[in-house]
Amino acid sequence: MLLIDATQKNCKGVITELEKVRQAIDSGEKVETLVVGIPNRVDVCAWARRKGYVVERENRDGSTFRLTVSRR
Amino acid sequence: MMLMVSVQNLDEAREAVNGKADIVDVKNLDEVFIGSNYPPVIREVRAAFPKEIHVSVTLGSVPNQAGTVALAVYGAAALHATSVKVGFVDVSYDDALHILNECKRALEGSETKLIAATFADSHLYGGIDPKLVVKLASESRSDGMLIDTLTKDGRNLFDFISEPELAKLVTEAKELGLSTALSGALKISNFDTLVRINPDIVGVRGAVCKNEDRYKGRVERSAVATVKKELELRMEGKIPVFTDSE
Repeated sequence: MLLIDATQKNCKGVITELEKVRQAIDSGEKVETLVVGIPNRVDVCAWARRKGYVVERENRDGSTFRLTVSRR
Repeated sequence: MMLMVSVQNLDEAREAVNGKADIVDVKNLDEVFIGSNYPPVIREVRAAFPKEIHVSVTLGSVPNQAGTVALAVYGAAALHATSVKVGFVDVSYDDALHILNECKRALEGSETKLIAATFADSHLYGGIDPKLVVKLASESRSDGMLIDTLTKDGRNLFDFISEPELAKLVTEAKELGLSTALSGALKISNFDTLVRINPDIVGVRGAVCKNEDRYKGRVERSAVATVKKELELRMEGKIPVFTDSE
């Protein structure tokens, strides 16, 4: 499983990081993404939906979200 | 998500910044649709705040004259605007692209960001499809995109474009590295939806004016502070905006 720590990223920064690992997801890798705040969680979910991926697991610890994105 | 407040002068800009607005957007409501303010007003507003407070300049809906628009954009850069917004109504896609390309060229060597804008209700005015804004911004190498409205009769952005459509456009723009902004008579009652869409910037005016009157009222810091707080409460999850299944 790949880990993206995007806790220091905001706005388009989170999606830019996710775009870098698309090839890995397409080849079956799962990507765990750490983001802070609801807006960034929204971005990860929206991006996954648009790309035809799925957020298969989600945990929250305070304001930090841990989302596992994978191929359908 | 940053809060952008439209202002017409320095007094309003001070109210907006004291109410914790992140961006003051200088415009001129006396001109048809949305017009540009005068250079001395923009200079005065820019000089009043540190660089961290973004000062954007709107050119409103621009004429189909690339040279004229490029020179106006150059003027915004000379006034050290953080960004300049170029909006299109009665212009073909190709003409809009040409204008933006010239604007980009006019901004070479400048820190001012170029924002391509379309209007959600432009079909009422014979304008270009607002959903082309991402393509337009991307092809012109603009730094960001804005979707606004021209109709100021009580209807707002969501009367013209649905939440799923806006969410798709915002995500698509972010994938391309564009900043994203939504405005158009937005109110606190729209904030749940806006946080679900999550643009980088939310623009308001009427909602932060006395009596919510965008023309006769003036921007009030207490209203700006309330709007900012309501936005933050949703962004922090203290006011839930999602159903359990989301």
